[in-house]
Amino acid sequence: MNKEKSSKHERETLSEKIIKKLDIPPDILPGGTMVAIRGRASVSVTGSTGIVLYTPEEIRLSLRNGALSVRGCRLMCTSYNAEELRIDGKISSVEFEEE
Amino acid sequence: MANPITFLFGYRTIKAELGQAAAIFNIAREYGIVYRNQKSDAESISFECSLPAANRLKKICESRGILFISDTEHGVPHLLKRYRKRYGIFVGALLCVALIFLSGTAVWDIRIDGESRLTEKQILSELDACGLRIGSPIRSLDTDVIQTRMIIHSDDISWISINLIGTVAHVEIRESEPIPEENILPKAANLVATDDGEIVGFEEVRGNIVVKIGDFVGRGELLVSGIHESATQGFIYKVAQGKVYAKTKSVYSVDIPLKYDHKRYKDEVYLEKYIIFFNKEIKIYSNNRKNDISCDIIDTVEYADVFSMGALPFGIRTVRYLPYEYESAERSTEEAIDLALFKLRALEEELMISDVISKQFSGNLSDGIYRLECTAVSVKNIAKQQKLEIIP
Repeated sequence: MNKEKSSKHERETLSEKIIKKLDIPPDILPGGTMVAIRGRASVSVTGSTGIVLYTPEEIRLSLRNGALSVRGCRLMCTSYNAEELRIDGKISSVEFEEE
Repeated sequence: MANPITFLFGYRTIKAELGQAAAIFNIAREYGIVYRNQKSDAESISFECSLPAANRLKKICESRGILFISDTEHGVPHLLKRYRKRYGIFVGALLCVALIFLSGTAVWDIRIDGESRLTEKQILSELDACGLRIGSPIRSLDTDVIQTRMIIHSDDISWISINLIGTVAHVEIRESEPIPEENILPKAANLVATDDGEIVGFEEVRGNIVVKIGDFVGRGELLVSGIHESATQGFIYKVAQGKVYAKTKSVYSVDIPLKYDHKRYKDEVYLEKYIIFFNKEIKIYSNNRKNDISCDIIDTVEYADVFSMGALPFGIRTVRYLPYEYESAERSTEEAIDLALFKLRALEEELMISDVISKQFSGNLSDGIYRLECTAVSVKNIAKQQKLEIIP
């Protein structure tokens, strides 16, 4: 069952194939996510649907097709609006999680 | 620390449990509530919001069962609420504003420059008589009228300029030169030559001309006589006047040494600061190390300008000392020639050599000094009045 699930995740979907063929930046499509990391001090995320967990060590964001975990220390959500969310602090990892 | 605008309109600092942070930020995003200065620790988060935004956020959070740990108000509206019963503070603030406003409407200081024989007290007294004194309302002052009155009123002042910079009147004067005895018109005078030259013309001459065009005259030689001999009246004495033009030769030179001392500035700058209060200066600090070294000095004065009402009679004077030392340098012959030509032109202006007919340059280098010599032939007025002593 697990094997089936992981192979399903590893397979490219039709939309992913089309995006790849047409060379379209994935973040401009509806539901697209863009993550910009500036050094170890700041991460900007567009396309987030909300904050799931907020601690100084981890901030987890929900995306349309999964979640994004930003880990580190002294993490702070310094700006959060409809377009963009910005996290400042000392970042140690940024990890995508599947649904 | 909130910025001045935020402080002026007021803000709230909201503190909530860390577990509620995600929900609060999601609400803020959903309703477009802007927050700033977000901080967090192991147990709580805090952030600042404007007053309307904080009220809105609080209402929404309460409706969803989210409670804040604390919610404190800051800024001017809060201070006004807090101190509304202390009337003395409001009266003091109003008086302060009124005083600042009123202080910009009158002359607080008069600074005089250019006096030599006259004392500051005398000039201030003359200015007072003409309508300018400390405390005069700026709006009613007409500096052009005061300037004209001063020139008419005082025989010792030949020119005056009054500049009002904020509340300070800067007065610049030129004193009348006392008439030297030698300039008092004589009863009789001759015109004599100031230089050697060849006479080329006369202009507005009064008297008995004793030379003619083409004559060569020497320095001190009589050109126009003030004595006229009449067959009926005997000798008549006049003051000879006019201009006698002659072609004269002038020789002048400049010396440029190839080795010279070059001024080199050091990296450090020493400062002296003063507080200016009306015409008094109070030294704030000074660096004594500058006393033992050679320095160039830049002196700047900045007057306070509150609410763009114009400069008030208090400010800061900054004196910058730029230390330097001389180091030996050597210039090339070409550089020496360029510099010599430049200095020669300046010398010509200084000697007032104009209407030049011809110029001849010669340069030579000896003992490390470049000498540029110029022989100029020019036309100039060589007539000078010489008083005649009449012994009855």
